[in-house]
Formats: sequence, C-alpha cells, structure tokens
Amino acid sequence: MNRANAILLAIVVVCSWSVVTSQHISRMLYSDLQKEQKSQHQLDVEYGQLMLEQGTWGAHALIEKSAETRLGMHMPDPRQVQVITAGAT
Amino acid sequence: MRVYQPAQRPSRPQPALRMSTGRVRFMLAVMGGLFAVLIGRAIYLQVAQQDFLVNQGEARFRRSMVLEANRGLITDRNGEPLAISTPVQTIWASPADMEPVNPAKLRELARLLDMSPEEIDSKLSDNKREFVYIKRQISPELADQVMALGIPGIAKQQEYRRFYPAADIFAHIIGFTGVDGKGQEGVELAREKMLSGTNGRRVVVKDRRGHIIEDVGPVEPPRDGQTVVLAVDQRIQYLASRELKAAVEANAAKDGSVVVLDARTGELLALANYPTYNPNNREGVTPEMMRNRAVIDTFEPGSTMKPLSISLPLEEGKATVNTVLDTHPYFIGPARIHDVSDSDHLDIEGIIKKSSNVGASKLALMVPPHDYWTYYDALGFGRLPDTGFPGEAPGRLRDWKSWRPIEQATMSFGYGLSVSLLQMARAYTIFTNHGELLPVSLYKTSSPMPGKQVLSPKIADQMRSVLIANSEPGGGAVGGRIIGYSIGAKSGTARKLIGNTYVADKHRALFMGFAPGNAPKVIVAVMIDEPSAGKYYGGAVAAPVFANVAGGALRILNVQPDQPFNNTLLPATTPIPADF
Repeated sequence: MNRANAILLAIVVVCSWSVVTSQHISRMLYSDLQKEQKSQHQLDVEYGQLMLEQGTWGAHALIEKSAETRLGMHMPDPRQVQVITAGAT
Repeated sequence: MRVYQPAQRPSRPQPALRMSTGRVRFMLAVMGGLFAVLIGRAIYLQVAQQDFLVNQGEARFRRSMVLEANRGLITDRNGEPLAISTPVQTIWASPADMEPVNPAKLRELARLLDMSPEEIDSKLSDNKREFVYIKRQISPELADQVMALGIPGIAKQQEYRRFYPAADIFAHIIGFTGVDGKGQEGVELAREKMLSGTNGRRVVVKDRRGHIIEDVGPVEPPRDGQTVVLAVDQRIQYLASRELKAAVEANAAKDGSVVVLDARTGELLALANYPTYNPNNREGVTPEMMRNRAVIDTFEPGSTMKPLSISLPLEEGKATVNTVLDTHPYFIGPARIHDVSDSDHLDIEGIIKKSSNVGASKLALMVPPHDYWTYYDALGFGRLPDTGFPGEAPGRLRDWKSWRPIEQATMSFGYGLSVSLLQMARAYTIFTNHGELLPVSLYKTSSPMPGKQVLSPKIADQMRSVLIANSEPGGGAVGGRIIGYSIGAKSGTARKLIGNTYVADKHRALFMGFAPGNAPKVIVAVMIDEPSAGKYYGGAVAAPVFANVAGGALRILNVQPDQPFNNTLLPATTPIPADF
C-alpha cells in the first residue's frame, strides 16, 4: 500500500512538473509565433511598398522617356527593319 | 443626572457604567441593522447588478479594435502590380483626455504635418470629443516623427491607401476606391467582394492616453483580400493608350477608344480611352475623363458592320463569294442608296474593298428580317456583353417586327443600330475562330471559355480571306498594314447623328481588324470621335493606330512574322482610298 502511494506520488510530481514545463514552453512558442507573425506582416508591407516602387520606376512612359532623352534611342523606321523568319533559307 | 457630574464629587470612586439590558439590546439591534443594510447592498451590487457594473467598468477601459484587412492586389496577366494597398498612418487625438499642449510642441507638430498651429488648436478645442482626426494618410516615417514628440493624447492609427503605379494608363479598367476603401469604379467595384477581405478584431484594455495595456480574449486575425489577375497585358495596354492619345491629339478629335482582344481566347488584352485621368489624384477630374467609352458609349458602327452583315446571306446560301451584283445606285422607297464612288458590278470581295452600300444592302434584303435579328442578337448586339464591367451598355437593336426594308438595308452598312466598341471587337471573333463567337473575359483564363457557333466555319473562313484581301493593295484597309505581318481589316467612317439628322462635318473614324491574317492572334478595334484636323476617314485616321497597336502587340507576344518584309507595302506610301 505504501509503495503504491509512493509510486503514485512520484507520478503526480512528474506529471505536474511536465505540465508546468509544457505550459512554459507553449507560452514561449506562442510569443515567438506572435513575433514571427508581426515580422511577416512587416515584410508583407515592405514587399508591397517595393512592388509599388518598382512599378513606379518601371512605368513604361518613364523608361521610354529616359531611353529617348538620356540614351538617345528611338524606334527604328520600318525601312530599317529586316524581318528574319525562322527556317528561311 | 448625578452620574454625569463627577466633578462635583471627586472623592467618591467612580461607579461602573451601568446600563439597562434593554438599552444594550436596542443599540445592538440598531448597529446590526445597519450592518445588514451594508451587507445587503453589497450582495445586491455583487449579484443582482453585477453584469451592469462589469459592463460599465469595461466600457471605461476596454476597447474593441478593428484589424483592417489588406485589400487584394490587382495585377496584369504577367503579374505586374496595377493596384496595391500599402499602410499609411493617420494621426488622431482625444481632446477629452488631454491637458493643454505645450505651445512649442504644438508648433513643432504643426510644422511636421504642414498645418497651421491654429488649425490644430481648433481641432483640439472641443473638450468633450473623444476622437478627432488631425491628419489622415501620411507616410509611416512622418508618423513616427510625430509620435517621437511624445505629446500625451495624440496617437497614430494604421490605415490602408490604394496606389496605382500605372497611373492614367489603366484608369478605366481598374477604376478606383473611395475614401472608405471600397471600390467605386471598374474592376475595383466589380470584384469588391474578392478584393476586400474580412476585417479582424482585437479586444484590448487601454489606458486613458490610448496605450494598449493587455489583450482580452483571443485575437481574430484579419483575412486579406485575394489577388485579382486581369487578362490585360501591361505592355500592350501602354502601347494602346500611347498610340490612341497621339492619334486623338494629332487629329484634333473629341475622344477615342481602342480595344485589343486575344483572337483565340476572347481575353481582353488592352482597353484604352482618351481622355483619361490619374486615379492616384482625382482632383479636378471630370465625368468626361472618367467615362469608360469603349464599354459604356454606343454608336452606329458604319461600314465596319459590312463584313458581319454580308456573312448572313452567304451563310443562308442566298449568295456565294463569287456572286456578282449590279451596284448602280438604286431606290428603296424614296431613299436613294449610293456609294462614295459608284461601280457597275462587284463581287463580295469588291463590295468590301469598295465598301459598297449598294452591294451590302442588296445582299441584306435577300434575307428575311427575323433571320437577321436572330443573327445580330447571336452576335451580341442589343445585349449586355457580360464582361462584368460596371455600367456596360447593351447597345440598341430594334425588334425585327418593326423593321422596314430601308431599315434592314441601312443596318447592313451600320446605321440604325448602335453598339459599343467592345461589342464590335467581340463580334469580329467569328472571323478569327471559324465562326465561333467568343465571350470577352476581363480576367485571365486558364482554359478558353466555350464560344457559340454563329457562322459555319466555311463562310467565316471565306470572309476572313475577304478581309485579308481588303488590306492588300486596292482594298480599303491598306492604311492598317504592319511590317512583317499580314492583316485582315475593315475601315469605317460613320456620320454622326445630331438630333434627327446626319451631319456632314462630324464623323466617327473606325477601324477593326485582326493580325496575322491567316492565324489571327489579336483583334484590334479603334474608334476616333470627331477628327477635325482635315482627315476624317477611318482608313486614314484610325488605321495608323491599328497598325501601331497590332504591330507592337504581335512583337510583344513574340508572334513570328508571316510576311517577308519585301512583299509588304509600306503604309506611308499608299494612297488612302475613299471609304464611307
């Protein structure tokens, strides 16, 4: 009888210890999760802003203008274009 | 009374204070009663009034916060972003909880927000208000600077603002959102449900300065809106709007539209209108600029109707491509039907090339009105195109029972019925798909949607060849030719109806076609309204827009040229034929 009680007591102690530990671990993990979610949101926001920036700088009108003014490029005249078809001999 | 005068008998020992048991009991009962009242009140408050008091308490420190969902992205078919929501900050204050602000700090705040100190002061003056906006939608960096001032009672709040990187290029397709973040026009309105997402909720305890102390209960996270992928190709869209703008300005026209469809899937590759506006800054924008003309406005399609109307007599076997008609001017009742340049005899190809009203009307009168109505109806005229664009117009196709022969005749060359440019471009899919009319899709499709067989493949292919011939020397659509590619097209110049009469000096220049001719990839429809810089024929005003847009689109889509360069006539050297 005493032995059985001692074993049960030991089990209770171990269980309660593990409850406390896992509770602690779960709190730590939850706080990590929150932190990661927050940083995910931050990164999403930053991604959106970068896309916006890329879209603005990459606007065709802007590129066309820089190509014309800064690089002096222009669309070739149709007479200057030679079309080469694949498989042509 | 002696008991209360001890000073008079100092020598006598003071007797024990004695009271009758009656008085003791009385006092105990009184005090016990008072205790009972207190306990009763406490029980009453704790039990009966508990809910009320808890609510009252919470109302004083608990706040429910809405976690705003991020509105979904709108992209073109290649994933290029066209509408993005990004967080901005709003500075607000709670004057009810504030002490007077240090004037130096107030000036600093005003300087940061680009406002006058008086303006801010007046916003903070109403001591009873718990919430006033000081400045909405500022950049997060600026908001951080404002918060660094550390003025008690001033807080920031995150909001989303919609940005359109392509600015005016996509204005009519995408539309815009209102102050409340809800779609107001275009795809923003049509796909509101998909884009908006669901807001989350978070209940927190806040102190009186607006700082969050703790979360109460679980946080409901917001669900962000979904991404909407359009069928539009940003590169073709840019090309179309640039060419349209150039043509409208060069021809001193009132307005214009271009529609580009994928000839095999019916997807909308580009849709541009001019004038347009910048959805990022709608100050000074007029309804004229916001009008999505290609979808909302309807007009009489003029000669661009002929390839469609002529197909039905061929389909019904009333005529063949080899049928030759007498095309001298003739009368229907009192009305004289004639051409810009009269011919003696024309076959089907000749009727299209010379854009003969006489030929088209004679063919049209071979078919009973009911059949024509059924055919036009099947082509989608007089019906909503079902693209999902807000405000799309069905156009007008009158009931066949009321048609007189003259009306059936004028309809064959595009007068007496009205269509939108989008409907017209869609109708031309029968020539690029062996007689199958495709539904127009505003959104990128993974598999082609089933069409509707309107013409037999044989007749549709014959008409396609006629349209290709029309773009070769001697035809009416040479102005739309592209270097390296064959095309099939029809031009049109419709007189405008003002009041009840067709005026001679106001026209609509039209050009519809497809390229490459034998394996069409794109359909391009162009409409220039009231060109007034001398030229007004569709083959002269609208054709160059077609050539530049279709040519550019084929290069962008990497379509292999089907015509050796040396065989291609250059558009600039070709005289423009008269076309009505």
